[in-house]
Amino acid sequence: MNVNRLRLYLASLVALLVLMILPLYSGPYMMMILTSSFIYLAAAEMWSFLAGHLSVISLGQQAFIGLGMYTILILNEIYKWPLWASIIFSGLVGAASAGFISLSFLRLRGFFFALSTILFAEILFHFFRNWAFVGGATGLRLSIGYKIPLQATYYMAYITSIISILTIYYLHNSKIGFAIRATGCDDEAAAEIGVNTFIIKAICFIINGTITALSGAIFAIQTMFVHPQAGFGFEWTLAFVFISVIGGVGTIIGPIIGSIIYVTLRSVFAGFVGLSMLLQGILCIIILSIAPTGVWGLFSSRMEKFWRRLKRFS
Amino acid sequence: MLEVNQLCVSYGELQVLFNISLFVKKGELVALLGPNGAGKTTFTKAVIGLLKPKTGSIFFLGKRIDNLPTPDIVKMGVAIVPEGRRLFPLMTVKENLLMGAYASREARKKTKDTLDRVYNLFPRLKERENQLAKTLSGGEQQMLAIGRALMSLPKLLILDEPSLGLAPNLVSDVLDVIEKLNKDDGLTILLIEQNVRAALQIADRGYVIENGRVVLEGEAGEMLKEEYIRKAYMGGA
Amino acid sequence: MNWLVILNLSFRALLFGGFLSLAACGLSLAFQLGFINAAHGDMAVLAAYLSWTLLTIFGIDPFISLIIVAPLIVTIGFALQKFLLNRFLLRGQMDTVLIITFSIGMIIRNAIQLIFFADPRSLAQPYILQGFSIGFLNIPFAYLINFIFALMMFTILHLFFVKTFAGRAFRAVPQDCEAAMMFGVKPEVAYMYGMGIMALTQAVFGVLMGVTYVFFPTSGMTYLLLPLGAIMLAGLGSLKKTFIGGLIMGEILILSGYFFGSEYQYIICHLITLILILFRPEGLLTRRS
Repeated sequence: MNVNRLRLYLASLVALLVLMILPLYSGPYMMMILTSSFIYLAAAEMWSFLAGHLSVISLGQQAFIGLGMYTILILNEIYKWPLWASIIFSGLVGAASAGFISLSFLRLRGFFFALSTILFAEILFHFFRNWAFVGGATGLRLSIGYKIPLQATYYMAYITSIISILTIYYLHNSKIGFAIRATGCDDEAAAEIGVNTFIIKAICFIINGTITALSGAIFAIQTMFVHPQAGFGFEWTLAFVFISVIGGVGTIIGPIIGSIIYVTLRSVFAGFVGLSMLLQGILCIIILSIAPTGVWGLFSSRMEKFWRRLKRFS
Repeated sequence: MLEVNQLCVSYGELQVLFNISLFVKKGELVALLGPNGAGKTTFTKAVIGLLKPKTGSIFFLGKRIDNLPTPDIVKMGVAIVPEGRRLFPLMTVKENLLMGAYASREARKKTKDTLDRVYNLFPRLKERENQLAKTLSGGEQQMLAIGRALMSLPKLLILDEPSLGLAPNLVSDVLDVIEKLNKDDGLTILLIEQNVRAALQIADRGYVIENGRVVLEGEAGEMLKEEYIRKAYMGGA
Repeated sequence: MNWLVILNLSFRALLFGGFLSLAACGLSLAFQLGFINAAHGDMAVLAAYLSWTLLTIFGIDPFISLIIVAPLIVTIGFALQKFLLNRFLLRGQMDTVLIITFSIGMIIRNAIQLIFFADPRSLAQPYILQGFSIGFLNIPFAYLINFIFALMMFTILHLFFVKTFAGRAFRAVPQDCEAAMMFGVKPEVAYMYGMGIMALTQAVFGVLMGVTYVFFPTSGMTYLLLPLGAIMLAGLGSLKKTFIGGLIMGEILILSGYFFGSEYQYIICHLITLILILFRPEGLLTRRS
């Protein structure tokens, strides 16, 4: 194992340990920020993976978030299922709906797929908004938040992020990784050389649905309030797009940087959600125009140039 | 009028044209001949700006055009009848013709007169004036494609394989029109053809391309008598 | 089943549908040129809010404000197209264009929300709230005026596409872009025209929509998805098809509102759009080749 790899693993291990211990030393505000960061990170990594490696752009991620949130509401709050079961089930709901989307829409051309994800999310929005059972437009409160400590929510989000990142890492480096990148580059060409592009896309999309739904479920537990706008608003997709684009689409570290920037931005503009979204949009456009590889892309290419120059001197 | 120097064109890593040099003087009808896959259409695309050459240069009326985008080249007075006609299928005959005049302000002003001239040349087009281009027969489509190119009042007309896919009697009709345009109206023409004998019979000079290289050039009359040509393209003595 | 009410609603739906097809115009043109403007609906909403500002601060009547608002929106559209979108479109990076227009939509929506807050707004004027009756049909003025405006714009567009060189060139590009270039058409100019028409139709649609209905900063999405449905219904390729698509969509929206309640109107429309995307993306009126 070369030195760089080793350094990377060590750094990751240290980071993981630090983050694991952090809750013991942080107050509730810090806890909330960290938990939010991991919720967004988990889902954004998935979006970044789909868009960057697979060239599948989904603009309706909020569908999964909302489904995850409402599953917790229905199962845990209304039917009093145990929390762990509800969470697992929300992952399943995410997987099922992603499966449904895969079967129906994945064969569509880029735009139509993106539009169909928007439509899907909108339909769910209207549906839940008019469903009195779950509180209609005003939504319902969750009581679970009072029964579990903040740290528990933190660890749930933390673990989901790790699962998300490890899954991406594994997919990238496994035998499927080649098929994934081939499909992302040019799926017609990939199909011609024998890649089953549909299965590849479906697998990735279902994983995406599961993790995003889990993120939504944890978000519901954290904020303790589920209503249609919170679950199915476009802010979610914008957030994932922003995090991925700013950090670096298709990389693993990119969204990590992006989530940090995102959560910082949100805290700075704590009272003015609209303003932060405005800035997100503007920054997205600026970054796409000037530095499409994102912060991490810029950084890693600078690092490469730096190492190359160093080697020339030695 | 048109001057091509040492043109080399590649599709990515694959080089297709090797040091092609040719020229067309004002008023001439020059034929560019060669078998399928020789590189004739690649050449046309390079002249018209759809492909950028790796090395070499192309000059039109003394100005360098190989680095210009297609619309700019066309505006200078080059008109093309593309291989396969490339008509606008959902537009009518008249609309296709009018599109021909788009490139030049002068041509736009004179559309009425130019349309009359084109209809005189191709009476069948007048009959089908309001029909969609995709409903025309092969021969009519070829006439329309030529008419469309003429609408721009070009200084140089390039025809890429106009006889392709046409019945023999139509082929001679088309070539008659091309000859008329050159001999009677003085239009400078670059004719790219597989039909060697017919092309050389109406041309002033000719070039033969094989595998991306010019292998023969000269006066059309001389080339018709060339042993090489007769053996390779016209079935022997 | 109150037939009188249904007939009235159907007629009203026709007027509404014709008006809706105006919003579908620009989207259809963008599709044919190969891209999607995710901020399509938000442009209309922006126009409505600009008109509202002129109304509230200067007392300018909404219809008159069009003289200021329409060129403004068109200019913004041109600027966006020329300096931002064309770069990526000409390189074929459609994914990036999608994300950029999505971001633009979010920017517009949030800017509006910050400035105007989320309250419902309206441009309604007293003279517009009346209606008149022909026999058993009750026709609201606003619906009629919207329909007439839509017809006017369609006529202007038709004349543009058929009688002018620029219009013909614009039609040629989606049919054979390379051939169009061979006759002097620059694709970037075609894109500018496309955006110009989109911006103009959306501005007119937006202001008229504001006069007839209540609008919010978030209304943009509805005015992207409904026209999308109209396009899916009839197909691309001609103004006539877009118009008919709008009419059908109008009927579906309003009649499903009557039969299933206003909460389910949108669900039904979006569902139908989704099903059409899946199974008949070329539209119901286009022959399968």
